[in-house]
Amino acid sequence: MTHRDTTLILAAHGSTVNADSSRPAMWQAARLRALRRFAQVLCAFWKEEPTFHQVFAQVETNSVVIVPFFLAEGYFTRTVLPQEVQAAITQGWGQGKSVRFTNPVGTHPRITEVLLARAREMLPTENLSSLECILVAHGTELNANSRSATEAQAEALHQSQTFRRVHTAFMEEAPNIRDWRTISQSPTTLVLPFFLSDGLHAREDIPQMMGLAPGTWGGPHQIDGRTLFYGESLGMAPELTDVLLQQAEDFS
Amino acid sequence: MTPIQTFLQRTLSSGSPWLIGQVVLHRLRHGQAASIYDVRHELDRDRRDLRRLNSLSEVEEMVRWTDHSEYRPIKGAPNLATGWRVEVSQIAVLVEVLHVIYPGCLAYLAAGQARIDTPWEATLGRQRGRLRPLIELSPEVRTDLVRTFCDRQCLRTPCWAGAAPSPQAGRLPLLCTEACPALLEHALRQCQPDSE
Repeated sequence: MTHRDTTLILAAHGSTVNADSSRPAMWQAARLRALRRFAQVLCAFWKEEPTFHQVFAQVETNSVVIVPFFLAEGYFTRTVLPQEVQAAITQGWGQGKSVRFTNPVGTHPRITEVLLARAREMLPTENLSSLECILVAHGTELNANSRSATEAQAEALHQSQTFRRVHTAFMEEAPNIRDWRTISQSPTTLVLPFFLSDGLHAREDIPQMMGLAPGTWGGPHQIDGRTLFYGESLGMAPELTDVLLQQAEDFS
Repeated sequence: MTPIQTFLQRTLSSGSPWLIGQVVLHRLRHGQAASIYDVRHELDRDRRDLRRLNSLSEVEEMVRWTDHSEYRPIKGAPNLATGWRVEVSQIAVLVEVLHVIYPGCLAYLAAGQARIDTPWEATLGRQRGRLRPLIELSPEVRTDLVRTFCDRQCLRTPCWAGAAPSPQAGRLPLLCTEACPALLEHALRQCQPDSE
């Protein structure tokens, strides 16, 4: 199915200080562009260029679909994104255009497949049913949706009957990922980051909190007589491209 | 052809090179073949050993870094990397390339008098959380921020702050229609050093 009269915009956070923040969204946009299903595929950022008004100025179609490159509903999807798009329209760039917002990509049911693909990529020959898996996310008291989205994914992983047991853990909420040794009981544990970007949290903070050196991932790592594997974030998973495409097409 | 493509094609039709920001655009003639457009850093005008960028992704990666491998969040900053060139045959692709290098630039030019700039008040009024206090900035502080940050860090003319580009032969102006995220972060650091 093609949508040659529609522009697809991936809406992401970005950063003025961290070059890696926007990399997954831009990588995914390039893959979506190569599929030639949409007239244009663009990335727009809140905290980085190109900004929403810069991107809307480039839109050549009357139909626009915006996919929030986030794992959960929250402040960005409910407040910032509609506000920034409205500002671009006020600037004259969106006049007469049909603009549709999809749900955040992380809420799509197929995100579970992406997580499982990351797990199998990490452990291609291991019997995953003998492992316990910890899905680790940021967690924040400012947004209950972040926790509930993580717990929903953990439940979906549990329902897949892939792992012996599935747990959730967080950086800033209980249960804390520092306590992975008590959260998981199995000799071998796989920790999957529920993040889109391999930025500061996923690449440095969480490994440190688990007892690994910053920048460590993969495995096996031996800690206190236990074996730990630490996966990659979801943003540059090839399987995520299909999910983004389906999210966009379902709303086009 | 879109209005932006028409604008660019008309601009380059004479065959003379045009500058925009730190980039030189040139329509090359290849006998009776279709036009070829060349894009490169103005400092690399006469170089023959430039690395050719073959995709938008490669252009996106190039604009993210300076020649010294420093992150480049302000796309209008006067530190665009050198050593590359882009060669395309379609005006539509040239437009896409320029929008990666200088986001929105051609659209702002093509809009002409219809362009709408977003004043400080509107941009600051949208900010929430830790950037919300910026709404209290006095006009004098705002003017000083434009002078000390925009004028020094970026080649774009801050039209949203009332500035107008000075016409220069052979050069397309690089326009800015709204205060960018980098300026807002700078404003916060200057006005509330302990807020980070």
